[in-house]
Amino acid sequence: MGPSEFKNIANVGDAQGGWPVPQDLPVQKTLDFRFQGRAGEFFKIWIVNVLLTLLTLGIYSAWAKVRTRRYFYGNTRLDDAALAYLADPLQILEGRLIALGALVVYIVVTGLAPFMEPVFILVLLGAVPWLVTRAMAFNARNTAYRNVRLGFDATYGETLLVFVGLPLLSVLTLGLAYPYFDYRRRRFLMAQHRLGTTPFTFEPGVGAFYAIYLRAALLLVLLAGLMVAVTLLAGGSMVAMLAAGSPENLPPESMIYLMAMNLGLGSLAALGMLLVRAYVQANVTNLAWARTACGGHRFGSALSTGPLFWLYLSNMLGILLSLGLLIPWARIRMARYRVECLQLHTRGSLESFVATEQSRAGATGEELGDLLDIDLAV
Amino acid sequence: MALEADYWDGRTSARHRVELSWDPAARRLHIQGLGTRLSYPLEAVRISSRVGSTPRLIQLPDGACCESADNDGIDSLLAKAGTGLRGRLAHRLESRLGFAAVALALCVVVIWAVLSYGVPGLAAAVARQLPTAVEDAIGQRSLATLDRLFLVPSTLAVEERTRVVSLFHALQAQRPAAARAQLLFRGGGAVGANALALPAGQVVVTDELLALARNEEELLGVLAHELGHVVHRHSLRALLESAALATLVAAITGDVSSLSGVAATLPGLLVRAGYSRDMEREADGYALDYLLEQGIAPQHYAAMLQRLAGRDDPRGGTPAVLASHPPTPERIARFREAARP
Repeated sequence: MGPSEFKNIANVGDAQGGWPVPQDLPVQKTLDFRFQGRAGEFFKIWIVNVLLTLLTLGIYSAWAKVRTRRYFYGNTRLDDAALAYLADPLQILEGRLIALGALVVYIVVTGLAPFMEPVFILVLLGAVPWLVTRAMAFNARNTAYRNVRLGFDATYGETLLVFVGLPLLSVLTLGLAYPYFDYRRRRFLMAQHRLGTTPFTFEPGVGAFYAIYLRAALLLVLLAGLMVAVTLLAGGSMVAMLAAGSPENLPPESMIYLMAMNLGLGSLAALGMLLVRAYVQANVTNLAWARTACGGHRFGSALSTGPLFWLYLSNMLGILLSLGLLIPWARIRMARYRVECLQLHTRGSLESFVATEQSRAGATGEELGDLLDIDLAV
Repeated sequence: MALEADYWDGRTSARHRVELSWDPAARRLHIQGLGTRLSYPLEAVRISSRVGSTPRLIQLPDGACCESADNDGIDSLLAKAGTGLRGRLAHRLESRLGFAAVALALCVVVIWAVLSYGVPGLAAAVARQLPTAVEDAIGQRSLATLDRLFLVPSTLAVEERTRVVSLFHALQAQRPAAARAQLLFRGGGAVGANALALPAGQVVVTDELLALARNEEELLGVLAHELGHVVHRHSLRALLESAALATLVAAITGDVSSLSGVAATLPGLLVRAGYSRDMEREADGYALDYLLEQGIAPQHYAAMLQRLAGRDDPRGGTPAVLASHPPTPERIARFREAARP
């Protein structure tokens, strides 16, 4: 800074000249989200949920869902305060029964009159925005942090664009519009929520999303090339063997070799796809959180491709080999990783969120809104 | 007895550290630490049920709430107030390893029972109720797919065809339940010697299979087996069982990410293969009954099975648990046993 700038600063604010007195800056602190759930504890909750759901032919599933959510939310803490899930299982049951009824109607009507199927599809497409908004609003309203409930507001048109229009566009453009759809969807999900009266904000900018997907596509091409190379190297000898005679004349050893090759290539392809998926998930999630803020506090996420890939792989193998018994373990691990990579860069205290009028009146009372709003098991 | 808790008034997110205490005489909950002492009758307060070791919520009538991590303290408060058991049942089941082990064992038993009896029984009941128009539509689609992917037109001579058709009609005359069955001729193509029954009652026989049959008795056995599939509506039941199985898996693993769906398909394959083997046994039984009734020696069917098996590559083949048919020696033995007087 040159002497002239010094003089300008000296003339502003402080009458005696010299350095301006710094304003009271809000305290900036980075808080970590913590996850305290444990697999052993959750396994017992999960297995009782499964048993009671089976014994009650599915009726208990509403209570199971609420208990599971309460476990995961209640073990997620920020600034030594936990999230709370407050939904009434009966409302969820109601929503599920209505959904089941609609499904039965669809099956029966299209079974008897197949020409009704396109009509149903159109109605369903038209209803998707309404269903999504209702479900998100229900879940938001029944989630609280420090006894201030979240809220979700969205117009029908906006929801229609994001959940019906953009997926269709992705399909029509053979996937080129998919990064844009992902960007709009995440922006929509974040920015339409609020904590009490404070809305969440999402910084716009689709370019970074395309950058991630482009890198993922390159990774995919690389992996495909690798597989082609492996096939050519190992498969060259295969072609020679096949040319020698018809398949029945092949000795058993080469049959085994063929099968092993198939299995090997298949596994390599599957692992490759999983890696690309982990890459996209980690980077897009980090990007989305970095763009999100609420009341001046900014979020930050530090997921990495490597650990996420390993989580996907080990969870999948664990569930497969344990015939499903390790599902609770897998869920806890995934939740723990995602939550513990999340941070909030606070400016000031978290004590100044204000609840909205509705949530103030009646944590224990029944509201007309609650009666009309149903959770459609999204 | 005082419990430590955090108090939030529900209007802002400001936290107050408070102490809760219980007055047994007046049955009131007291809250201290907010400047003024608050107290509420217990009936007006809603205490959440216990889930694992997550913090307990005590919701107050004015929209405020207290959050306490002292679950044991709250449980003993509730016990003293005499409202202990209500809402605690789920947690009691969830908190002891012994209960979890019992729950696991019961789940295994229930799932086994549902898979062995529930799903097949439900599929059979629904199949009986479905209008034939639905079956016909499915059958037409299946045939179109088979023709597109595997089968080729038949090159059988007209006299042969007429002979087999009259054999089939004679069979149908004795089994009015199979009246809607319809015989179709195809070249086997990649499938080779085979006979198939489709949902709309179409019975497809390949030229290769007809060439393999040495006499009419052997052919009758095969046709009767296929009619067994038609009469018992096996194709439709197989479709319904698959659908029911998929729904069951989705219901249990409901909220889990799609990756677990991959894990779910392997057990699904095993179960579906099991159902398929049961149906093949049922069709074999139908054929056996018919042959015995007509006074035809069951060894003919056994011989046909032997010949069909002989054409398969002995080194290849799927493992027994994934096979869609029971092992051939088992099937042959059944018919040879029945042949003994």
